[in-house]
Amino acid sequence: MKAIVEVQNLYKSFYGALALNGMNFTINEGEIRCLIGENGCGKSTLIKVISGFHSFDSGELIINNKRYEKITTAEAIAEGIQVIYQDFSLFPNMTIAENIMMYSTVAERKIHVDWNDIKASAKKILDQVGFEIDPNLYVAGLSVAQKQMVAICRAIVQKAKLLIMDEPTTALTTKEVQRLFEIVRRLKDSGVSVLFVSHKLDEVSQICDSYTIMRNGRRVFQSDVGDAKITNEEIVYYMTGKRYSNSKFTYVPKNDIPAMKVNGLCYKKAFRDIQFTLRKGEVLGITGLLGCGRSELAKALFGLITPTKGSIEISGKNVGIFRNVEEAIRYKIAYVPEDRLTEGLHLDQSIADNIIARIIRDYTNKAGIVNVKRLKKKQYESMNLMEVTGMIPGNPANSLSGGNQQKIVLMKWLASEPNILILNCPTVGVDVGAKSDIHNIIKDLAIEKGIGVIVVSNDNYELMQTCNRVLVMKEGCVVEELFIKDQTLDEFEMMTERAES
Amino acid sequence: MKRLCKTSQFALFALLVITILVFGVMNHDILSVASLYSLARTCTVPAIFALAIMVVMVIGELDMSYCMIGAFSSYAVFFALHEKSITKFPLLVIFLAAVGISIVLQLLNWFLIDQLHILSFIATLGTQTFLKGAILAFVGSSYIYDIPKSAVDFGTTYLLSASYKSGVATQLPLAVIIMIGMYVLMNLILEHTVFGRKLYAIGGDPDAAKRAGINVSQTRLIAFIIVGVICGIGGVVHNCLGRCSLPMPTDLVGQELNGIAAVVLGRGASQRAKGTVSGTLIGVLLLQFISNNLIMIGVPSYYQGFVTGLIIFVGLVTQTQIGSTLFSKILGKKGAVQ
Amino acid sequence: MKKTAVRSFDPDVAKMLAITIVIFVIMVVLNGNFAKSSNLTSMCYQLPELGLYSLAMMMVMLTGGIDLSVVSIGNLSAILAAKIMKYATTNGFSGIKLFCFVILGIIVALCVGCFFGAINGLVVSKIKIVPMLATMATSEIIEGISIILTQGHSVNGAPEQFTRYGATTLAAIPYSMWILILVIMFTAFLLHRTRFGFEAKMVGSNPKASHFTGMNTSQVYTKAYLYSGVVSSICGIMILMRTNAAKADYAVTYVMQAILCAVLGATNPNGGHAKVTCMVLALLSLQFLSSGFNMMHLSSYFKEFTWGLLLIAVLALNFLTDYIRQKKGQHKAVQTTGSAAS
Repeated sequence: MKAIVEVQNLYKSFYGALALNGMNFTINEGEIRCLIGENGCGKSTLIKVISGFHSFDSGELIINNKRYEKITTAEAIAEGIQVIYQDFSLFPNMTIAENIMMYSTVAERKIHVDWNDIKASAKKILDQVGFEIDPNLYVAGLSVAQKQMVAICRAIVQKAKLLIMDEPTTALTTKEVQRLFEIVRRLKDSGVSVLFVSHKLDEVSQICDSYTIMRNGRRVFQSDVGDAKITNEEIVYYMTGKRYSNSKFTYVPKNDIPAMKVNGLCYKKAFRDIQFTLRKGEVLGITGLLGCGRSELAKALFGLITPTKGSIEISGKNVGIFRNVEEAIRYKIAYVPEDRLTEGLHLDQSIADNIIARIIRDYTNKAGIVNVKRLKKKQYESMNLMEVTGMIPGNPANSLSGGNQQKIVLMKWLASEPNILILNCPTVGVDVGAKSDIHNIIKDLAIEKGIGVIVVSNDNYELMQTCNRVLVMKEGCVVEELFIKDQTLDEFEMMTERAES
Repeated sequence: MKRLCKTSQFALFALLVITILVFGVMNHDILSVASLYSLARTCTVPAIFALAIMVVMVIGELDMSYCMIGAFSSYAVFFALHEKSITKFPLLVIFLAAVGISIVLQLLNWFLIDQLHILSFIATLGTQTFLKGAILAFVGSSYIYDIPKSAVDFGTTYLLSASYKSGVATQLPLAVIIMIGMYVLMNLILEHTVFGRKLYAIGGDPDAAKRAGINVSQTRLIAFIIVGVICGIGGVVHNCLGRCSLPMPTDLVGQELNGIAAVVLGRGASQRAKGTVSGTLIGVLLLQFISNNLIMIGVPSYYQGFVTGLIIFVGLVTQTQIGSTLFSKILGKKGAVQ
Repeated sequence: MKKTAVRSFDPDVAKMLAITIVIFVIMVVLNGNFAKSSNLTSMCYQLPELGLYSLAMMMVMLTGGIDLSVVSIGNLSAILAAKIMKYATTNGFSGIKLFCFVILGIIVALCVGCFFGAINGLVVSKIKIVPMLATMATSEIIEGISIILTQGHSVNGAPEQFTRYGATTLAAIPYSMWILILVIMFTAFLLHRTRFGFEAKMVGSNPKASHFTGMNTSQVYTKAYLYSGVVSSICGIMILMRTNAAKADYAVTYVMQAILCAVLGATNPNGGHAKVTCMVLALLSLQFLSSGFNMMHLSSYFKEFTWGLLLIAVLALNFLTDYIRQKKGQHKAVQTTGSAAS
């Protein structure tokens, strides 16, 4: 086995804070390795050091048997190191062909751009990967999966020896993930090493040969090719240094008026004839592959999109359909969006202001004047609803980590004392610890406050943990209703897969 | 034709053609060669300055100072010559001197934007105000009529001339060639060189550009130097055509937004590219054509601002989603303005 | 809503206050008459015009937009008010009839502000044109209308009963200054005590998240431009009161100066941040500079030079303090959250 990248005793600090604290790391030729760790453990820093984006303070960086004191992005690329970042680093204002060839165009130090060559080479790579798309399309209009394929093609063009993928599966449907893995395996066969950086343990374990787990800027666990696979609980322990015991959610059926009843809801091509009942104190899961209409359904229940047909009953009262968010809010519905960064938070505003963003309307008189005193009191109460480490109300929301940011979004909605809470992928990109916290909060809300909760997610573990009932959607229809009892995760997965296929 | 329909500038191009036809029907003189020459002449300076702001916009920044910088550098050179009472001076040196000053001033912008991370709109608003005050308070505030003969000659050399039916003659000045040359060269740089693509890449996503191995700071620096060159040339051409030099020409300073409007009009509905050379030229042509010919179709001069505003407005609407769906409905072609 | 713990003094306000005081002291040292009441009163006459336009600009910038049509709205308002008042004076009205016409003129002027403000708001929020270009186009159109109405000439002839308020004082403070003070107080109230003020800030910071939280974003935009339009026409009326003249292209340079003043006063042009106190301090420091240099008989161009320089200097200072704060603050952040910048 020949090591492609070897890192020994690496230190890196930002303004005096250690991000890498004596990190050791090796990846060999033709290996698929998984790098796991919580947010802020230093894995992004490690990637950025290897790819030359950041310099490092001390330690050894050996790439292809060459020792580097300092490495630039251009040198890293020349060594065959390619990073596919979570945002893919594509240029939206350029075509697919140009995006694929951009790195080589820059690296070749030519003056003239040969458009015919660019288009031909791009086409060749697209064919090689088996990605059928017109290379003259602009990247701005592509889906996430398509963008990722473009980014992979771009890496392959570069004759990558080591492909680093940062959270590659986050926004992909199961089918797309399988296709991605197929391509990754093919790359491995051709001698390319792949480093997966991920949160999603179950998906990653399908494909990885070996693991490196990081915590606080250093390696805490490493397994090599051929070693026995470790369990998820084990991984969580190494990542956080703590053991989490999670209890499943149990729902005690009550025969009162359902919190929400949906009758024959349709929206264009996204979903049709949706029918379900949500009882008070129940946690209902909605799952399905990406593009099955689950996200649209969640939005329609909150008035973000207006359904074309159907009606909604709230506490036994028919309210028709919601035409805008304000109508949904009037019926005390809360919605935690999919993408907290763009849809959930005002990142540059203070945490305190984020929390009152929803409830300020309840403390405003007809003239639009706010009752500051009462609002402040309510705000103070809301902030003590859950534990958020390092929360200073006056600091901007972007000073918090992902999990804590999500808690702020939850606080914002819980302050409004909702009867129905809709969560759209509540723990995407959230640390294991915070994830467990959020799951507990969801369960508590249902049990203690009797809120009807809808969790839209494709994370089977999450659904197993929080829901008592799960609807499986396929091509816009609910195809299966699963009751969570004592199934194991594998059994549950098989059940959903069967329903989806 | 089909390919033309698909380009993002098609809506604007159609607007230009429609405007020309409507104007032409109202006054046939507008469709004459003489009118074309007159249009070319009035377009020259705005087109050069629009090119400057376009480069800035391609890298995703905004510049409120480019007109002032052009005027400043040119006036400074002519002022120095005037003070020394030099009447004979090689044109090339005048150009070089103005371009030099202009580059220095644009480098100041680069420093504020790239090194100090100040929002470009604000930083250049600062430089504009500061330069405006500086030139009038420290350099001079008087008109300079005795500009060197070489410059006058350059401004009054005509390639072709034609006349309206009424006998009024119009000429095509040599400076038009410079303007066209700059457009051709800029088009080559932006569309066919790696450097040009780097500029678009930075405009698209600066972080991604850095990851692609582009030296963002350095590339921006060169871009600002290019903007400086264009501004310098624009300033001198403006003074040569006007045969005098003034510190704050009202047809230049204060018209920054018209240049921005031309670029925005020219980038079409897609807004994928932050600016294109061909689109910018069409944008300038449209704006200048209207202000040039309103009087010729019998609109009193004091209606000019109103009509220009209205047309810019219509142009902007065609670019929005609402506008482009409307537009493709009118044309009956799906995806005419994709 | 200023919900943040304002126990420590807001650093932006502190910085601007320090700058204003420094400029004031320099001016007093440079010429002894600067702090005399006659000069202070004359400053009070000059201050309100830029002040009102800057407030209008600030509110729109808070929502992440910009309003380039403030001055043209002000001028059109003034022109219509002047025309109506002129009709009254040329027909020799007096007493209650004249008073009615003056009031009518003011109301019409305010309606102009409302109307074009609403148009701006709708164009930005519904047709979704970039604010800078949308308001630039409407600005040209509005100025065009003014020129058509006046054929480029200035309109004067407002009754003395109206214009005398432009030159007199109430409790040693000019009436125009009182107007500015009232508008400042109203704006501060709007920003800190009303739902609109809060929503304007939130929409400016992230329109999508605001929409997802149930705010009616297009209504917020429209209200902000409406406010800007009305304040601009108040300014127009005030200019008419002071100069007894309304002209289509009066003081067009105010647009850029208003932006400069707003930005100097810690308004973020990307939206989400604006502070009335800071803006008022910025306004004062600009006025100190221009009056001070004016008293030294330096050309008025020198004023612009220093204004530009001040803006750049303040921005560079911001960069420096941010840089230092980052170097220091990173330590703290790490200790509390245990996570490094990754």
